[in-house]
Amino acid sequence: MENKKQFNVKNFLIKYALIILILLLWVVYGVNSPYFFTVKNFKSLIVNAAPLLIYATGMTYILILGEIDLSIGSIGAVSASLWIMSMTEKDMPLAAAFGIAILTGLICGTVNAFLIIKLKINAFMVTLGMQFLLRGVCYLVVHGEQILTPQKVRDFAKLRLFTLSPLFYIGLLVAIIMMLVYKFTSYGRKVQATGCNKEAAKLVGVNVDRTKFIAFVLCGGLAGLAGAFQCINVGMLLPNGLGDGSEFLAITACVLGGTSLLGGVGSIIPGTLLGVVFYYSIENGLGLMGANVYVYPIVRGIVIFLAMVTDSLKRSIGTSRK
Amino acid sequence: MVVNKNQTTAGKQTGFALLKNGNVVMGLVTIAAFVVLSVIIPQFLTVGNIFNLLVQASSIGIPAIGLTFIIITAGIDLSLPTTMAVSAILGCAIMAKTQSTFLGVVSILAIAMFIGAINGISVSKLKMVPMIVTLAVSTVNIGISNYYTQGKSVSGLPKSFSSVFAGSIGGVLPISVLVFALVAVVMHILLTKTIFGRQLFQTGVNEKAARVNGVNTTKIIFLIYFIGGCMAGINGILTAARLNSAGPTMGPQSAFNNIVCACVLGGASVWGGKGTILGTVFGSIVMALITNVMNLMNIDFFVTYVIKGLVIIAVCYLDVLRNRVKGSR
Amino acid sequence: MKKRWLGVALTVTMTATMLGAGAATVSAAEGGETLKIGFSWSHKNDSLFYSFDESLAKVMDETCKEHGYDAVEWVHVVAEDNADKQSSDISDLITQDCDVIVAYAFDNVAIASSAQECKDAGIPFVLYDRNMAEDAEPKADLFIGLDTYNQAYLAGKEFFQMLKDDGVEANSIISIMGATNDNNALNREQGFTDAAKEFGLEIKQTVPSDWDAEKALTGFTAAFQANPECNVVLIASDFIVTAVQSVLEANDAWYPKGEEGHVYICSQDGFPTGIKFMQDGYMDYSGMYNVDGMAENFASAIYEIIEGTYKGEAELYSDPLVVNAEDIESLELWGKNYMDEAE
Repeated sequence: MENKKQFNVKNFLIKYALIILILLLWVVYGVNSPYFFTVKNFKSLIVNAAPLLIYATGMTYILILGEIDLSIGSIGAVSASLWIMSMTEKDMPLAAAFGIAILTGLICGTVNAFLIIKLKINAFMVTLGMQFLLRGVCYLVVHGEQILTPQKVRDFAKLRLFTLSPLFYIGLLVAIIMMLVYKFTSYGRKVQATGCNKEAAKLVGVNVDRTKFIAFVLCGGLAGLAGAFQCINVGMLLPNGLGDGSEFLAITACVLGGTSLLGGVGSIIPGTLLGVVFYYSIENGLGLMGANVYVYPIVRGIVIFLAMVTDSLKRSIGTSRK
Repeated sequence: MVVNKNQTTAGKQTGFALLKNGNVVMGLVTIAAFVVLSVIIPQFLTVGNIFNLLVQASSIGIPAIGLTFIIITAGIDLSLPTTMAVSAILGCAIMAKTQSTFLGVVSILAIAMFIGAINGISVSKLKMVPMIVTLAVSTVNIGISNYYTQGKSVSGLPKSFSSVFAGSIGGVLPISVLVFALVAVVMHILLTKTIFGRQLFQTGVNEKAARVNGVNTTKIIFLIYFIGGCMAGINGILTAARLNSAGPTMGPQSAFNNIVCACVLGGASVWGGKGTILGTVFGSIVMALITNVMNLMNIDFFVTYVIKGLVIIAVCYLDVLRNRVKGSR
Repeated sequence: MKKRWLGVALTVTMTATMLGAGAATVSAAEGGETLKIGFSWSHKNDSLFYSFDESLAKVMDETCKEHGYDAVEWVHVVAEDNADKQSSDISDLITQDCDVIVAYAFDNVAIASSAQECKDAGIPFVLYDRNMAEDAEPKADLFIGLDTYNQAYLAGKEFFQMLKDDGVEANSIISIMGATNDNNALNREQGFTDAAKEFGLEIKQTVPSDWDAEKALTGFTAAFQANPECNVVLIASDFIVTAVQSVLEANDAWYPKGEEGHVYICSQDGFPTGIKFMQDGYMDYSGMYNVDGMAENFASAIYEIIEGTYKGEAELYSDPLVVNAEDIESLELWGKNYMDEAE
């Protein structure tokens, strides 16, 4: 700590390094494509990102609690299967179908919670096992077929309120609600307390087990909704592809948004929301620039790598946590 | 800060105790399974099938051995399969151009080690989050693999390459299996009988305390990712020899699931502090066994997913029960 | 202590192996004349593969009796897009003493090692739909398939011809391709590119989908925004069309043929989805699989292959069916058999 003035500038740069990286990337994209910084682009980006936003919102709670959930993609797949089949086979109304999707997700989340909290099996392996199991269940439910979304879903997706799609609203609404829950309800405070220091939380009377249990159930329910949304965006249910890899994307988005895998730190808005938008913008920019097809994974990997460098730099200077 | 959930003290000693109980149980269960299966499936206990099973186990197990070291520090390396693919691709390209098996093998190892080193520096020195950073590196690996091969795997490898590395001893014992056994033995010694191994467990149990005790945790953490890279490279050599080619199709990202399951089934804990090479070897055999059995019994592959999930959860639950009985957590 | 149980393990395993080997020989001697066909799939998760499976099962059931077999037994193994696993899967099929092994290759170079293994085991090896790379050895005994380059090239040519005949000017052609590590996807992209070139056209932008509908969606969202005047879209497989629909609908550009603002779409494969979109007039052309034709080619050669008396061509190609929306009703298309599962 030599020159106080230098110290401040350097630390400032490091603290906001991730934002600087994001802005740099966006400037590059903006310069190379007049379409990047348009309202239209932003709107369609949020709509396409809505499923990941919902997945990642649930994942944020889980990560703050120091746990992990690798099954959300498969939960989404199973829920979406039942969602779509309730409409194509049983002609149920859309609202009821959404209810089924969320309910399926909640049930899957409860199974996870039971295995992890009650049977005390570690979350990584339980949710990894469930990832396989539920993917198999999804295939069996749809007999391996690809199913087109019925007309009422297409009509729903085409609705516009102030030129914005319902997915836009619902996605953001879910994130806002979960953030409010986290910040202002007693449950949210319990999550914060448990994440920060499990032992201290127990001492002040927080039921850590119940807090975690609820988090897994919630995460499952959100994953169910997200799966249905993925289906809506893409226009059909693909049992092999739906949700595949979503768990790592969700974790990446959360971590980019400042959530720590060790627990205790994290926020849904602005953190996870920013992480999701940033992640999607990487490929969005490439698409707008007409980039060569081989460039996509390389740029994605390098940008995320650099983002993680900024993240670790930030953590290395005066943080309250390891 | 997360205190390690396994209250192991001197990692090495507890490792041995586990070895006596947990792995013997695993071993006996596996043998029992083999016997039962040989009755149900006629072709199961044929020499050809068992060795095929062991070859697949080696493909899972060699990277899993590398992951064991990493997992002891509660770290993770998602890039193992794709590092294997990209190092094999670039190394084989060199091999094909120079027609020198030696140069090719050295290249494959060097490239894999290089990627391992990148992971190592990122996690140890730059203190980046292992899961995300290895995922990012993995993505770049995929990009490079796809770009270089453009749909056509590298071929034209010298005959000596596959005859040496994909051959068999006495026409029966595949080289892959032999290498797997050798690697397991060497790594086991490294993990349990050297200062490095002891310091690794100390780091995994409590990094701060280890540092206070004079352990160079930064170096240790770097080395384990480097070892991971080496293992990926070795696997790359063996797989490329078996397939007599190298392409991105050899190591899809999804192959990572089998690798991590092998470690955990073998007793390692994702929270760190625990892990044995022998356990990982058995875990690899179990993962390969599931696939082998599903194939031989002609079971619909959807059902395989469900069964795999159930087996993983069940085995982990057994592990929980076993720990509870022993009184330690 | 460790050494002791290791010793026990070895003894038990060796004894069991000898018993097991005995058991295996016994069971192989049973059974009359059942033709055992092993099929190694690269993946098996969509209706095209079911269609292959069913068409083959059907045609073999119909023809087996005339060649002296009472029944056909199929053993299916799925490699989940992993070349190493496919190699091991095929070894598993060899273990089961199949009369012939068919493979839908995932890696067209690596599959040669399995071809060698089958040759060493004396089992005929057949490739389905994906052929080996040109310089790979040893060759399979038989190849049944479609040429994916031709599939896109022929469909593309007729498609661009139609555009020319209708006086439509192609603006900013966007192509959504499969995965960059899949040489079928690359062949199709090349086929489309070459077809376009013959009409003096070129593909303005290619979107990599990695065979993932969501990547197709985000990529095409961006590509279409950057090229709003685009009125021609080439897609690598039918499932991508719903993502295209999402984007075009959001941009008020989703109109069937005949209406103003129609975006011309040419696709591949012939899934039920594709057929439906062609029936509704949104998709214009598709290079579809001739599934039954392929199955018939298979049946015509397979029995002699097994007996080792086959003298015909080692590569039996069936041309793709280039299907136009107008021809849809009159043709026998494989996708139609699966139409009631699709909406």
